[in-house]
Amino acid sequence: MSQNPATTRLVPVERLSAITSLIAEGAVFDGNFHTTQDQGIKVDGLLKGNITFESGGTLHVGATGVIENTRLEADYVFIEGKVIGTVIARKALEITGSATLLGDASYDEMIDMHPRSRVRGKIEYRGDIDAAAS
Amino acid sequence: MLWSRSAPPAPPAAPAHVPDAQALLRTALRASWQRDQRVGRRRLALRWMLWAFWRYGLPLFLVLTAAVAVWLWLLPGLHQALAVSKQDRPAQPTAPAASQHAPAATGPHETAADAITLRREPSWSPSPFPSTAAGDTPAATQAVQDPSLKPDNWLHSKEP
Repeated sequence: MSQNPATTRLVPVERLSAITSLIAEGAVFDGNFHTTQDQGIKVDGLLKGNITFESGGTLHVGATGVIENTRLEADYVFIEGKVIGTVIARKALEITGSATLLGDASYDEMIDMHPRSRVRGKIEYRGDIDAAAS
Repeated sequence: MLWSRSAPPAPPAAPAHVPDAQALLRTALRASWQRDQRVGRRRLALRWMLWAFWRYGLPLFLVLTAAVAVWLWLLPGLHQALAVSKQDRPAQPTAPAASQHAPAATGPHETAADAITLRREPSWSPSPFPSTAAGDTPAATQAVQDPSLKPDNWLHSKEP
């Protein structure tokens, strides 16, 4: 049995292993997910709503996961499935080759887009450009 | 007594095992990761194959289709041209000398069957003309055979 999550290049495996909530494949969650704690959520089913981690937080959209009409905000965002909406990654954003993102994405520190990933939207770096260049 | 039990009473059943929440979460996550890897690999392979088809497969298919179409379009005309050329070709002389001086079968329409028909038969009578060099042309051979032609040195003859 696989002891590690899907191959990641940017999001730490420890963060993906610290998932505390799971929306299973086939399940439909209609509503908003909000927490102030440093937790994690993995979406394998269908979620219609927002996910907000006020501090910390790891969001993992599985290969079978679909999130619609959403605004996602977390420190680490790892997308393998389909997301329709706005994504805000305060630390790292990783979009795999099996992912589809229809919407804008912004990140503060690092981004990784695998080949064959499908993104239709604006990618914005929210950090300080001059500080990053120096 | 009749109502007494023959076997001792069974102990009460143990309470149902309640799995640990963390262990359950770990198991569910591992299963989810497995499914993610399987689905992700399949989807990624499909995307790569789709890209390769549009990038390489479709142009190759179109080129091959065009080549086959052109070949099939030209093939009847080519066969007809070959048949006409065989019908228009003059009959080959049966004399051994003529067959000896026939040009080599190097043309594009020459086939193995033609080479076989031009083969010299050793049982035939020898040629009345002396054999010439291999580079002689059929026209030169015909000129030698024509009695109405005179050799070139008749101009230098001192006879009136």
